[in-house]
Amino acid sequence: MTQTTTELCYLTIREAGALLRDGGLSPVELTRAFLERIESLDGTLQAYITVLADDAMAEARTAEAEILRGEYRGPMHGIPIALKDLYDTKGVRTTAGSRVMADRVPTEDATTTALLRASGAVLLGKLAMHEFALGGPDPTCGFPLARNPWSLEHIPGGSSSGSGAAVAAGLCMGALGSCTGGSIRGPASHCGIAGIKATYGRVSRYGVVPLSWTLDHCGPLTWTVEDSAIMLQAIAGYDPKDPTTSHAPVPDYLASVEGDIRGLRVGVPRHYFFADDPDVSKDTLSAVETALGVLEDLGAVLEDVTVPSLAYAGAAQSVIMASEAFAYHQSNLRTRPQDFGEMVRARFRIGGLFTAGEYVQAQRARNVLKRDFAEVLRRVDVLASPTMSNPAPRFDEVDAMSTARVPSFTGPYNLTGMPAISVPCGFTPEGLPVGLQIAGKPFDEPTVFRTAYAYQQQARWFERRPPV
Amino acid sequence: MGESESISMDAFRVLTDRARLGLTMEELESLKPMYDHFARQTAVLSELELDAEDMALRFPPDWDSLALPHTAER
Repeated sequence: MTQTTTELCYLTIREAGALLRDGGLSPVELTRAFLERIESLDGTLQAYITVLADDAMAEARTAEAEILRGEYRGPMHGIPIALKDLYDTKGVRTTAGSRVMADRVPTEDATTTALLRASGAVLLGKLAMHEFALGGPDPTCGFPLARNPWSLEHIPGGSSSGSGAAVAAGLCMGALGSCTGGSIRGPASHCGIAGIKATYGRVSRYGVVPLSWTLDHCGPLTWTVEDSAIMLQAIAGYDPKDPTTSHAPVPDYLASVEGDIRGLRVGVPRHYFFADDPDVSKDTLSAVETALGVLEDLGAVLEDVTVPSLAYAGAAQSVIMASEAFAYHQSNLRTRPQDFGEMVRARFRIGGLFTAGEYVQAQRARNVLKRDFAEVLRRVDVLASPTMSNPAPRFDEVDAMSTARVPSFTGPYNLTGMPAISVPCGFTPEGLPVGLQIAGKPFDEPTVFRTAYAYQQQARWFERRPPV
Repeated sequence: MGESESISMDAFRVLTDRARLGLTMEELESLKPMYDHFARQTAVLSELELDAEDMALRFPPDWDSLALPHTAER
C-alpha cells in the first residue's frame, strides 16, 4: 500500500467531494485506492462480507465521465461508500449476517441504496454485522467477525460492526448502519468516528431487513460530523414505500454544522448517564466530563436535568425489541433454528415469551418517556451524555447477555425517536475510543450537528487515526 | 419478581410451548437464566401507573396506500 493510497483513503467526504467536483481527483483513482486498501487490510479486519470491486470501478468510471461532462450531482458524487449487509442491493447478496439469509439476492434496491446511487456514490461492497442486527459478535453465526481497528482483540461495537470498522480503518469514506438500540452510535463510539441516528421517520427503512419496526432507524457512520451531515442529506426524506417516513421538509444539514454554540442550552441527565454504577467505566465518564467542559468553554450553558422514566427505559426496550423480532423471525425459529447463531437464537426465542400485555405496557411506557423528554426539551436545546457505558470489550468478554447486563445509554433515544449522534471525545489509557452522545429535539438534526461539529473542531480527536 | 425469585422449569416450559418453540430439556435449561434476567428487568413495567390516555398503539385510519378505486370510477 503506497503513501498516496493511504492519503486518499484518509480524506474526508467533504475534502474528497471538493477535489472531485473541481477535477483535482478522479473517482476512478479514488475508488482504486480504496479497493487496494481493502485488499491489503480486510483480511485482518473482516469488515466486508462482499466486495464489489468490478461494479465499483464501473460506477467510478461513470461518475468520472459525468463529472467531466459537467453533470456533477453533488457532494456524494464519486464518493466510495459501503452498506451494512441488511440494506437490499439489487442483484447483490444481502445476508443480514445470518445463514438464514445466506443465499438471499434482492430484486430491488432499498430506498436508501437507490438514493445513494442517485447521489453518484460508488458502492464498494456490503459490510459485516451482528446477525440480524442484534446481540454481539457470535462465532457461531457463520460469518467472519469484524475487528476494531484500534485494537484487533476488541470488538468494533455492533450491530453495525463492519460499518464502524471500515470507516475507522479507511476502507470506505462513509457507511450506512442501522440502529434499534444503539447500533450506529455504539460502533461509532467504539471505533472513534461519527455516527448519527436521525429522527424516527426521517430516513426510509424500505428494503432494510427489520429487527424491530417501531425502534429501527437507518443512518450514516463517517469519519467526521460534517461527513455524516452530507451522507444523511442524501438519504433523508419522505418515502411513499415506507409509511413511517415523515413529510417534514429536509433542511440543509451541511450548512447547519457551521455556527457557534454560545448560549446553547445543554441538558445533562446525570442521574442516569453519570450514576455511580460499578458497571459504568470511570474512564468513559472522565472523558465525557472533559468534553462537557469543552462545550462550556465554547459558550454552551450546561444544566442538570432529570428524566424520571429513564428508570424503566431498558425494560421497555427489551420487551419491544425482542417481541417484534420474534414476530418477524418466528417461522424460521421453528423450522430451521439451527441456521441462527446461538446468541441471536436465544435472544429471539426470549421474544416469544413476553405476553401481549407486557408488549402493550412497554409501548405505553414509551409514551411516558417521550413526555418526560419533551418536558426537559422545553428548557434545553440538546442533551449530552456518554454514548456507551464502557469502551469496547474484548471478544472473549462478550456473550449473549453482554449488552443486557450493562445500562444502555443509546436505547432511550430509539424509544423516543429523537435524533442522536456520537462523536469521538477521547481515549482510555489503553487507547480505546470514547464517544460523546448528543441528542436533540425531533427533526432538529441541525442543532445536533452544530453542537457535535463545534465540539469536534475544538477537540480535534479526528486527527488521530487507528494503528492499521 | 425479586432478585432471587424465578419461575419453575415447568412454568417456563409452558411459556416456551405456548410460543411453539419446541425446545429440548437441554435448550430449556440453557435459555431459562436469560429469561429470568429479562423477567426481573421487565417486571417494573407492570408496576407503572399509566392513564387511560396513555394509549400504546394507534390504528391508522387512512387507506390511501391501498389505492382503492372510487365506486364511481368502476
